[in-house]
Amino acid sequence: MTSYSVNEDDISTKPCRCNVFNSGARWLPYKQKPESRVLRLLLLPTISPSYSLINHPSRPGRHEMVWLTIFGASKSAVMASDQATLDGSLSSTDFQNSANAFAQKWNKFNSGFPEWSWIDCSNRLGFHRVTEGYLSLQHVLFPRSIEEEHDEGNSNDHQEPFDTATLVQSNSDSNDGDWYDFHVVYSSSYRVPVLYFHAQTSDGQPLNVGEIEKNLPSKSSDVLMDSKWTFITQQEHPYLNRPWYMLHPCGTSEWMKLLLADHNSTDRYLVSWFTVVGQVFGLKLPLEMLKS
Amino acid sequence: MQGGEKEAQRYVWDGAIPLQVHLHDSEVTTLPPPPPALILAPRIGYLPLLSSQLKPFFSGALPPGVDTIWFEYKGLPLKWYIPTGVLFDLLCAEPERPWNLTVHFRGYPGNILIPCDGEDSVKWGYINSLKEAAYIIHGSSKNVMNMSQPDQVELWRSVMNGKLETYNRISSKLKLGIIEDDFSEKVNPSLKPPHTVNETEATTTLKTSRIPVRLYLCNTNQDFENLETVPPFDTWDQISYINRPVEINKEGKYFTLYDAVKSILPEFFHPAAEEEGKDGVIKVVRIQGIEPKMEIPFSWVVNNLMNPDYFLHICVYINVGRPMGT
Repeated sequence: MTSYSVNEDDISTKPCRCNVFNSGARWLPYKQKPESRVLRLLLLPTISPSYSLINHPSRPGRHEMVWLTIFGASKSAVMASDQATLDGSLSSTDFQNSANAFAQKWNKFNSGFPEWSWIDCSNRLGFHRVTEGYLSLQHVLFPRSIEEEHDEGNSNDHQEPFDTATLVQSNSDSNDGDWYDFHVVYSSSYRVPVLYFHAQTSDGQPLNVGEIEKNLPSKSSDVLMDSKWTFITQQEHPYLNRPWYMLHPCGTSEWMKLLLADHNSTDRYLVSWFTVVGQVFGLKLPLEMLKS
Repeated sequence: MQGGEKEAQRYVWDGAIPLQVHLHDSEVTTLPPPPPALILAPRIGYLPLLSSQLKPFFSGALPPGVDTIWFEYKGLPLKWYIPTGVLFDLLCAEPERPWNLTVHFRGYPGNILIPCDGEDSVKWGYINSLKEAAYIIHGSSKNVMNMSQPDQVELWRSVMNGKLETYNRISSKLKLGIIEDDFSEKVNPSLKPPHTVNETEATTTLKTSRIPVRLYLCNTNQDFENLETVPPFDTWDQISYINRPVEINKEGKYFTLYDAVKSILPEFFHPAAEEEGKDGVIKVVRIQGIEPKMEIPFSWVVNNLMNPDYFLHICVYINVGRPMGT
């Protein structure tokens, strides 16, 4: 084991307090079966062994197998290649390049969806700075989970049948759902992209963690329940000076290192990154984006 | 120089801001209103940690309800996750003693400040910051994450209670010793074998170190003759926060505080910018309440003036009269 560049010491088996992937749970190295819900969340995108990411909506049962495949494969890739430069991180210039490549592809292949755009902040201090900015996706509508409302309706049916009408009424009011803004901001400390987001109701009220949870795919909200503190935290948005939610980046370079094991192209960095991070919100990439 | 080094760190740890804390008028239910509380706030501490002393003091005057403590200075809600000493250096251009703050226990401005659920939030804020620093220095937060639970608790208590010896004992286990102290080396050359000034040797030992730095940039937007005339900040938008490590390439010459600030704010060091006035755009650089000479070796500044989260917090006052580069 010690001969691999990625050894188990690098991947902490201790719970991390603020990491999407081992928040409250463990990051399990190859030798252990991925049993935690956290890992299943991570591998929700069905990742083929060749690292191109394909959505298989009809085959949700493949996830665990895929988990083993990707890490089995990446391990041998790691052995074969020189790891000196593959540390899963990105320079700020590469971030901007990769972000632009990502936005271009997204906007080309995902028409009908809101567009990602680069927000230039190089003038934010009243003078010019190089490479200042972030990627922004505004006004994404998350319909309220129909399934959940259905359940709620049922349980109320049993207890207070007369309330059902009111409940349905209020449901139909909120049927338009919640609005999300996503920003991808570069972290100079962790040298990786970080996903920030802000959520509000259609009448402009910000959502709290509990309400956000209801918008997430059930696997993500399970993780959120496991570790409210760590999975999603509120941090100051580096450019907006206001609290935004964010997915903590301290583990990002670890899994990016594995994802990029034989694709060390900075152009594709953000695409690969988003296949994992987007899953938290059920945001999937069109297949075309994953082709080189 | 060991003794001298400890002394500077000791000064930082013993540093405190005298506060005069007023309960906000809207939360006063008694007549006469409670007198202001006078309290010493440690520089390296965080404002919500004063809650255990302030709450009993004001509790008699508060309306019924749930308490969430927050502070403001001249209408500006104070970010609790910035160390108290940094807030003072940042918001009081001309130090005001005692520092008059207003405390609130109601109406938390959640649209401006990150939520704070008391000591636990502050503690995790600190640990996360420490983890970030460890990542910057080592490329991994492993050492912090692998800390034993008792060590973690003891480390946090040492910060909260200003126990420097305990802090040094526990934090040394994290092996976050950042950079060699050029200053000590020079003053006390007997400590190290003298370096041969040899080009090839210098390049083989060339090493990049990353230093955790949080830099706060106050743009005063107007020329000021002295600091007393700097108007108070109404909004955090007037203060830019740059969280970017300083990278040091050892090239045989001393890397100074000037070099460090220049690496984060290169715009201010264009030849054109430097010619604008004798002082240039940067008016004040303040760290832990002092305005160090820019020629000081950066390593000394870091090793002695950093906060317990291993970040060096630098406050910079600038005056950009007109947009530059346009």
